[in-house]
Amino acid sequence: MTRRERDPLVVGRVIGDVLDSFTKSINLTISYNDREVSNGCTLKPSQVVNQPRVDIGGDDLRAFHTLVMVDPDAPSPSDPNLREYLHWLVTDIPATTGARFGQEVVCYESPRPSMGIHRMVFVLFRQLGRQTVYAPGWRQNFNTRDFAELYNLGSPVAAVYYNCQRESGSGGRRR
Amino acid sequence: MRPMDDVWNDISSLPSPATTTHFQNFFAPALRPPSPATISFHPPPSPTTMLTLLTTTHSDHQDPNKRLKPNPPPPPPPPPSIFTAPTASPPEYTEKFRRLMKNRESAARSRARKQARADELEHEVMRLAKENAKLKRLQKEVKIIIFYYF
Repeated sequence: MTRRERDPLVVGRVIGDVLDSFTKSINLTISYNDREVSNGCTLKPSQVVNQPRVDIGGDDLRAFHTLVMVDPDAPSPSDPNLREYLHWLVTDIPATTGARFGQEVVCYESPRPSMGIHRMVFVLFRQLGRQTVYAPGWRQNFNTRDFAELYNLGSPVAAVYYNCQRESGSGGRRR
Repeated sequence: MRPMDDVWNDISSLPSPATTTHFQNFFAPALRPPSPATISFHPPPSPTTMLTLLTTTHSDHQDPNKRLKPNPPPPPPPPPSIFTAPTASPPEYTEKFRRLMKNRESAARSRARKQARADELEHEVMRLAKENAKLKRLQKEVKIIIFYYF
């Protein structure tokens, strides 16, 4: 009997839909209004209006990181033809610091899902060095894998995701 | 990169539906280096280039770029035949089947959400229990040191 998969990123299909399997090697803490995001938790649009606080671990201030935030379930999880929708892109974040120390390449856009329950995924990559990253022409149909390959970012070093549905959503249940 | 006109000419010269799977290669999002700085909201390469097919039944491993959205008009009804029962047409195209598959996928996503959350909480509990035990040990040691010196 195979051991049941226990990694929330795999069970929640973040690994699969957005990323390939990777080994976490650095701490990534995302907090909205002092509330830390843990995988699969649910946040309402009103709670995520403003960009979260992002703290990363590591120990070398000379190691730079890129943070990507995408919605793979845009516009609807049953028909995600805009997968992935890019919500935020920050580069050159030194280890041990946070997103506010980096370069914001694509500004934070508040999640406003209208249909279904969306996963909002944060991915952290380690850069080879300081690098110039160009903003894509548009937010929809972003591809995190391709982006990482284009900028030689390698495998992710950390990732976390939460669920978000419209403010008056009923959790997928019919009312 | 080839001009879009060339690309469109190629497409229109292809025979139709059988070759739809080739199309998505042209429309992989181009991460070109144009204007840096803030992003402007240009529309993506025409939404009509997202080809349409029925939602397929599976699988987590489907490449999202190949994933095609349903047509605004519903799929064409099966050609008229002497067998008029709905089940005579290929089962994949009936509304009922589509709804069934959509519901299944939705249910699967719901189960996955629930399971992922449960797994995450299990991990958290283990981590916190370990940290708690460690902190209690440390606290004991600190107490002993204080006791020893006072």
